[in-house]
Amino acid sequence: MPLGSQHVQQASHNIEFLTSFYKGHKYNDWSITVGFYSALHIIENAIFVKKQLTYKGKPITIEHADDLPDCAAQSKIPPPQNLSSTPITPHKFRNILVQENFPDVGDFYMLLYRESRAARYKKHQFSDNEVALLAKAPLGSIVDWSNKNFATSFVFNLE
Amino acid sequence: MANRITSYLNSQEIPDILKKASVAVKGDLDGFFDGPQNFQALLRDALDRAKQQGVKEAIDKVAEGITEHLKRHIYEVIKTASLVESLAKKSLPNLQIRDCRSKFSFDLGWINVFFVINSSLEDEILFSNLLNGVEQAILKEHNFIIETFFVNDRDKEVDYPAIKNDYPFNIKTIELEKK
Repeated sequence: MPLGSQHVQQASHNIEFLTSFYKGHKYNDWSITVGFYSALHIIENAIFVKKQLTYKGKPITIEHADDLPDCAAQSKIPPPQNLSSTPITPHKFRNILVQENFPDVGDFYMLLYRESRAARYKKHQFSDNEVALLAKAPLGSIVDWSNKNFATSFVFNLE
Repeated sequence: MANRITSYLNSQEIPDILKKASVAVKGDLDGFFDGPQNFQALLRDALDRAKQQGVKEAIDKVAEGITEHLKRHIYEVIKTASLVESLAKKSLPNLQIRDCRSKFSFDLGWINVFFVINSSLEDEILFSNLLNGVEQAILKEHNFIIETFFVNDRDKEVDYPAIKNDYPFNIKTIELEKK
């Protein structure tokens, strides 16, 4: 499992990549996807740094979103009814943790997540205005929040 | 008993089959069988029948479990869709939900609900926030993880075949079938 610093490195790498092509607006669909994966690593770093989170209102100690089922079990919190023994994608666990623990950016993160999934059905038709509202703005808010609360120093300038 | 059998065996009037039966009673099973139906074959047949019975019972049990599972999944999907639809009607009157589809996996345990909407970008963002609230409510109240997604088709031609492929269940169809 990566350390927080590795998530920070990956997030910086993704943001740099996004910056390299964003202004051309030729790959707006990819701006959404890369924006989401930048946010994902910022959130994973936040989870790693904070560690003491809550799940369904009860305290858990956690370093990675993937560990949510085990951490919940250790805290004797009943698992969701549809959680099978086969591991499901950690996206779901991360989404739950983000919404409950990081309300300042939960909506931004979930918007990026859903838009990156919707990109598949939009046939590269994201307009410049769309990508500004649905990727640039939410990712910018998440970057600011991380720099302020988790001592990161991401450079985010898509102007 | 053994003496009586021995005495019968010595009698010329006893048919061969009974002679063999008496040999079997004395413990010599191999001598009892003559032809294709031997002890191993009978045992194999009995085991086969037991296996078939076991498989049938296992299949019945699994089918019963799947039916229950399916009912529960469909219930959660419909509940989610209804909740989203009624909340969107109230808070986002200009947003139109054109379609609502779903997919779920018993093995992996996930339930996804997908909406095709037609709305402004601002309402699209608010709709995503609304879905967050619904997901959290379902997790809190029903202890189910449900993921909700959407695509906004305003001024766009969305890839409907891909949507239908990814989300094969139409919620409206399920509701009609339930009635």
